[in-house]
Amino acid sequence: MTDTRTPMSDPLLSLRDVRVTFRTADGLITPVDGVSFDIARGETLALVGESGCGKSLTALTILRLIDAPGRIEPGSRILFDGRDVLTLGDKELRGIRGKQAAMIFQEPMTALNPVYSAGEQIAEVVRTHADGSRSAAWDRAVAMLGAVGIPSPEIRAKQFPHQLSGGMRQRVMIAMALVMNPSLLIADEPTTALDVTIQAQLLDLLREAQQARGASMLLITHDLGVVAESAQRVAVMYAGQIVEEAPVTTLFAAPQHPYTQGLMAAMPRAGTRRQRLTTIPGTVPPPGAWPTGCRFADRCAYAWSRCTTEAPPLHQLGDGRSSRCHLVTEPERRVAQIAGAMA
Amino acid sequence: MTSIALASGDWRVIAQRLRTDRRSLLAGAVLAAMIALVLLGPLLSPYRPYEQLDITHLVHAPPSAEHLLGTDSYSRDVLSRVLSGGRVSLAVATSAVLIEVLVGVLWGLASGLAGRGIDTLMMRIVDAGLSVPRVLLLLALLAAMPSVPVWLLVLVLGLTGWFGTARLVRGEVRTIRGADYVLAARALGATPARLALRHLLPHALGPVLVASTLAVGQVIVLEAGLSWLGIGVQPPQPSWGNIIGDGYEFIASAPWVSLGPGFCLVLVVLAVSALGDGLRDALAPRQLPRT
Repeated sequence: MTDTRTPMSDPLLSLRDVRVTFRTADGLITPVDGVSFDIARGETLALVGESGCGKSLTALTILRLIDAPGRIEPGSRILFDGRDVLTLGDKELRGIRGKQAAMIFQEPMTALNPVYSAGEQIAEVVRTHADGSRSAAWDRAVAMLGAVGIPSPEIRAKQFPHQLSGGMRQRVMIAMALVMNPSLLIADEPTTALDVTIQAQLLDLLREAQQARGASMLLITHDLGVVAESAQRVAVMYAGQIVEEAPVTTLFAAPQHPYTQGLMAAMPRAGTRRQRLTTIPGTVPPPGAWPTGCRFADRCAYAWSRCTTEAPPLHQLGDGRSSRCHLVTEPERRVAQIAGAMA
Repeated sequence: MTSIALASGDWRVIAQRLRTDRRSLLAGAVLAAMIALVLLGPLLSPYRPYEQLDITHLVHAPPSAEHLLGTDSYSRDVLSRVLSGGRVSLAVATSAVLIEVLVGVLWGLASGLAGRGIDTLMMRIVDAGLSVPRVLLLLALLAAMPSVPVWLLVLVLGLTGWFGTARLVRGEVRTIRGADYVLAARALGATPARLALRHLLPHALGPVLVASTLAVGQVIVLEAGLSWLGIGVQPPQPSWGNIIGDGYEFIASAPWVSLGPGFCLVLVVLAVSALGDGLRDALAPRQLPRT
């Protein structure tokens, strides 16, 4: 599965044919199966998809955080700022983690260590990556807490995670990620665990912090509303593969892949009369149970015989768009399906 | 999570809980008094512990104003020997437990962090250690040695007692190492050493503290037993165990020789156990039975 797209000029992050395998009791599975994408400097790429499609694993791969029995397969390439992450030594890798590329996790409840205060956890990141005294690191942590919008940061810095609200805990996580001014932020569902008003505040905070630093961001989410607000480009993942990629406006205007269309249709819209939300029937097949043809075929309204026998390649459509669907080569079937549905 | 309160540095909460627990308070007071007594022993004791006062007239003198706990078969003052022997007994027990904790924590930490193969090997060694009764192991080891200085006794006691601690720590580390915040710390560049010491170890310390408090009680009894058998602390140096042993032959005619140190031994062990229990409850109030 070689990637034929024209490479972006000087991207900050570039993944090529990244494959992650896990050895399980039932044999070898490949939950991330040939993922490629680029992120330009200052750009936000959203990676969307249902639970279990491999989004988070892809994110962990970038900082090489996959543990046994998982394995990043040889042949995968991850270039960060011109350096091949997969061949770096442990020490150089730790120099990237947290300093040049930082990760924000989904659950602020469990991603903060309950035994250290908020300030200590931020200061620890500083002391890992920068020389200087304990008190200098502490002062920087307090300043950072203020910068992410936590009131009276001197007091909050001394508090433990269980003394902070969910939104504040996530602000602490963001402060930990931002404190070294990384050039890449990896945010894995950063607002999923929070309520809606806090979500919006935190997305604004992330966006402002990112723009102020000229950083790039990989934003992982299953919420298309979040995508529309925050990202410039979108990659849609399904069953371990990217099935569609496009600039955000194009994607929302004219989604190409039936899966993307399904996701859009399943999105609740403000201002419309209350009605049943459309759903995509079925669930993502687990890795190991993937069909030989198109992995979405059994849930797809357009599927025909070719879809169950032949896996579609990621067709390039120009203007940075791509779709992994046979409809690209047989567009008349789209019309036939719609006509059939209307008849 | 048993140890969150402890590890969050919330010592005040723990201290508060201990202070409001009558059993812990009493145990702590008894223990503090005992420790003070044996530490101040040289100042308080009316005679020198080795001194044979009057081998013709003062053998097996019952307790009196001059000899509060009587005298033994060598006409030595039992109280003086109990005070001096307490120092030895308590020092041996606490040093041995320190060795237990040190070895056990390091072994458990390494095993918990190691890959599957090494972890299995390390834990089988622990199983082997736990499968042999400690007293038998100690008897075999100590009996094989021509002489047993006190430091060697401490070492042997410590090195036969760390298996449980290792298993405890290893279990905690295994549980915590999959936690999100450990992954988060790695994602932010923490070194393996930092992960082990700052993120994994603190969680194991609560249970270890409880276990080692209880272990002090066990080791005091073990040392007493070994000394009573004559392979622990060697006479004429007194320890509670060998003073009890000295009096054993004359238990019918001069019971005070064994009863004095025996009473101290029971008191200290009970206090240590009660304090360990109290500490466990203070660290994990959720495990308290409902009242």
